[in-house]
Amino acid sequence: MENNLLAYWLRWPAFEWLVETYQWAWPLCEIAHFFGLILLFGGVGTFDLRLLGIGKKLPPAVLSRALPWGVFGFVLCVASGAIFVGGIIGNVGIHPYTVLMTNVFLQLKLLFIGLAGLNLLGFYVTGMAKLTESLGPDADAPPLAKMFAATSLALWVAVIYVGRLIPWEL
Amino acid sequence: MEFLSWIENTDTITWIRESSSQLGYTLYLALHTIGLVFLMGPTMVMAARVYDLIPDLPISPMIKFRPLMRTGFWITAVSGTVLFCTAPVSFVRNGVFIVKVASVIVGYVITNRFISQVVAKGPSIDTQLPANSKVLMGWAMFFWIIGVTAGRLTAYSARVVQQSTIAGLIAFGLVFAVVIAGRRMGLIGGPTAGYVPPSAGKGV
Repeated sequence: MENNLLAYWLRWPAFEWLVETYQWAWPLCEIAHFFGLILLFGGVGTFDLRLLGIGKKLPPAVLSRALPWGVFGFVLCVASGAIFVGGIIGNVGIHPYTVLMTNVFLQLKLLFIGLAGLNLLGFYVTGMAKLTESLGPDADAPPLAKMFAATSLALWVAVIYVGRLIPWEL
Repeated sequence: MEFLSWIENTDTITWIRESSSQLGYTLYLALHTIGLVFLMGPTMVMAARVYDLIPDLPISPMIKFRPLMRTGFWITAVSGTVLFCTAPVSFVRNGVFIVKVASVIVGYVITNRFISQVVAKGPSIDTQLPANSKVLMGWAMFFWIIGVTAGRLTAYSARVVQQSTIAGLIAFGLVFAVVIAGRRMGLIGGPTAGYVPPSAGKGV
């Protein structure tokens, strides 16, 4: 089962060594993952909520400057998440390929992250990103932008939800 | 302790702790995190305004996020209470858990005070924040960082907690150093391109 290219790529000896050698590495990654989520929701979630009509006096162009902090949070989550997956054999002795193939919650989490990425792509491709940037205070976002915002919020909440369930399937 | 043991062994709590149902332990665990991000997310945006990372963001409209933040807090508090009840005897003996709970309560109280004393003042403070805003937000962030970090370390041994705390301090120090350096170099912060803020007092 673990004798293929994906299984080879999923194992990161450096991460395994880090997790096995330093007991603080795993909890530090957990801390980074949580602060990543908070930053992600602070940047992206607050912007989504503005598009949905909460805090309408906030100009989206200015609020969108919190988005890079959300991206930073996402990078923190990806980096710490990569150590969780790539180094998991050093923590619980299970091959990451086995985890990826059998853990439904990890599969769902990756699916939801992918969908959130596609949703973001849609937000830019349809021109909604530019349109919302030009909105002034008190202005309503177009219905399509609201749809993208609601989808984004739902997907990120779902990512957090299934993400918390991953360890219970190991 | 007898009362805590009784709680731990009630039928409902035993079911929550031991059931593999999606309505059991994992539901409360997930809700605990979801509530936290709803509470902390808007707080982070306010902190970005206070520390001039987004200097032209009008802070008074952030008052509209208060109900959402309160909801997040109560989701965290209720789910946290349920999680606590699944193993109260060991939690009350866990120093890291006590630090977590104390920090979260103090952090929430200070955040509320910040909202009442700064954000709730209305559009007049959008261009010039009150002098105490940086101090209030600084303390709020301090306790939130301790609370969230301690929350993650509750399940670990004292030795791992010590090591992780040192590693965490170094990591936070590096991030803060990068942010401060970025601000000094003009890469982070500064006014939003193409945005003209309305004059103070007239609102936005």
